[in-house]
Amino acid sequence: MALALIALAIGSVVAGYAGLPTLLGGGDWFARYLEPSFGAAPVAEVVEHGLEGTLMLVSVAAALVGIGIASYYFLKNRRAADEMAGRFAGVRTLLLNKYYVDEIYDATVVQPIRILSQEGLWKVVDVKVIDGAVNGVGQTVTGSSELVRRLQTGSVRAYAASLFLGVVAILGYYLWR
Amino acid sequence: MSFPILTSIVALPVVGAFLLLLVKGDEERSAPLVRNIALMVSVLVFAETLLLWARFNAASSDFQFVERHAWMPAFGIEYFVGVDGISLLLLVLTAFLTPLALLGSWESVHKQTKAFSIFVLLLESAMMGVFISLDLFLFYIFWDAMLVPMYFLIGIWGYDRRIYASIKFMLYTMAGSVLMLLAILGLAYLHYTATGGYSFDLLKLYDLQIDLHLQFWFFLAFALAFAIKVPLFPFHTWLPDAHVEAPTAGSVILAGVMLKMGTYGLVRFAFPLFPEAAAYFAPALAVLAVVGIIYGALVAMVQPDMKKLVAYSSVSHLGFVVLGITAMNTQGVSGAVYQMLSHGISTGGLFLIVGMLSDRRHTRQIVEYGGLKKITPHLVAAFLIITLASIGLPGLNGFVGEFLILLGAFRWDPRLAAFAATGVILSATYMLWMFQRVNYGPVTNEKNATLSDLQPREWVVIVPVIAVAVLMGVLPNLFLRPIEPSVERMLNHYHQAVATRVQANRERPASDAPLARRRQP
Repeated sequence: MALALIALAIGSVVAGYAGLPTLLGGGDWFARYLEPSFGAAPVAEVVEHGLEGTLMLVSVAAALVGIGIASYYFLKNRRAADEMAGRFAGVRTLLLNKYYVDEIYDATVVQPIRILSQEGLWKVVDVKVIDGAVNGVGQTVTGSSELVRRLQTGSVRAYAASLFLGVVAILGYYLWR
Repeated sequence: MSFPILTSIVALPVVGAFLLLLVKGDEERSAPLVRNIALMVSVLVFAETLLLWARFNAASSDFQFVERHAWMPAFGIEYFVGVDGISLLLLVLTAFLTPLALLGSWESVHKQTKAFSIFVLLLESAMMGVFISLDLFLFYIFWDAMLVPMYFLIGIWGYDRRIYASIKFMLYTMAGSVLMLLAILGLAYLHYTATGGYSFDLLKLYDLQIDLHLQFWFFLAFALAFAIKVPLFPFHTWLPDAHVEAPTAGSVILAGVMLKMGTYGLVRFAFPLFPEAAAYFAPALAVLAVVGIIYGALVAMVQPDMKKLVAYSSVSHLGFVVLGITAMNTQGVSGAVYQMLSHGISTGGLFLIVGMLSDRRHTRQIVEYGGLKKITPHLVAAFLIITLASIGLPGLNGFVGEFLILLGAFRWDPRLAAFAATGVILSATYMLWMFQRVNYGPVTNEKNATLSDLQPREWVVIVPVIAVAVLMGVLPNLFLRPIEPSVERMLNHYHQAVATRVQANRERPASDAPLARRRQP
């Protein structure tokens, strides 16, 4: 892990020089390099170097102040850091847990989708509704066959009786019509 | 006459099956010989399909290696076979996966090895037959012949609930295909009313202009048979059961090839035979496909069983294929055909990996595993590559097809593409989450601590799968080149038919129109 960070650190120190502004003697080399792909950038030659210089100074100063505070608390005076942590315990926990973004995401997105998929889509829609309909068709067929099967008693007298009743019914239909 | 190579591809596995019948001796002694014969036959078939690919003229969109013999002339039934770019690579895929499926079952199948090998070979033959048939009657015979060996493969060599799963598989797919049979007979009759002679010749039936009302019913009959096979939401519930209960070889072939029968049927039969009806129903099919993509992914995400997870992921991935087909443009359909091949490779690979884990631990529950990375590093590496291929990582096979499909869908209707694209994210969620729980973290179950890494036989199984996954990701043109001309021809036919119908409807009322007539060329 450290090795990868070292490689990235070297890169971050060097890479900035590719876009060194004209104020510091550079020439927007990187933008020039991309020109064949994106076309020439609208050149803002007239930008006063004053604004550019102020921006540079402010950002460097902000970085230096940050480094200064960090080195005071973590290198020079560890106790002050601990005191700070004690005084702002709530803020510290919030920061330590990355504003609880992961937890909020898990509770509002991940778990609802998981529970809905598992208890709703899978166990109800898929197993009960869709597959229930499929198996229901099968059960209807076997169930009604089970009923009709009872007619096949194997008893010749019952068959003869139903034959006789059938003849009576048909004759009756033609005679009474 | 040249050598009938397509017939030989269908016949060779049957010959092999007969050879196996001659092997005598009890299970112990005959099993090694049986396995070797079956493997050799299937490798020979694969070599033949490669030869077919080498001699295939990729620039032509016509059917090639055509063989045509009268069979039942009174009914216009012929033995009429041929391949075009759409079916060619599906043949190669089938022949590629069969030996791997046999090898993958080397350890797990211990009873009745002979019958097992015979069924796998017969299944291969029937699947090949489906892809090369250009006569609808012949097609239907192969289509149903395919069910029988698979029924026995699941029913005899499956897991605990195998009987339930195999009967459900059989009845569900039969119910769909019976309606298709009616539509096929109806088509032959329409050809009779239009020309005075029966015919099941697909190319002649393509040229039939069928009454719109009839087209609707015929299209629905075909589409239902294919939608069940795909399986398209909500006709998918046979799939998780069949996949989970099937032995590894069954799952590999089922997911790798048989699901593509449905999407192949849509491309080859349902859409070009009934173009106007297809154009009418395409949006509805596309919506079902997109629902299937998201629904399959969400349900896959919460499965505790690895095989079931992969099964539901197939519902999601096949949704992409159907979406590409319904878009009916070059990108969509080419992407769909590409995705059929790609899904065969990556899902076949996943089932092989899950089979290897299940051979070792006799369980497929995700919670039973954990921390395998330290114990079986090579197996896990292969697992990772195939997982990424299934997700559609650029550089591997899954990306090309999904990308083309989304592109095609976007050109048709951006809303569909937008919803379908969420499936890409969800596929990463369920696959990586499963991978994480199985392979990373501490070894929580001590039964896992002594698992062995890849055996030589397993290396032989998994390396070709990974090689093809990389090849399809890096050199997609190698595979797209033969596909595209045939897709173009199909699309031209389709759009022309839809356009002329719109014109014809404007010119005269449809009430006095005949049921069917031949299209003007």
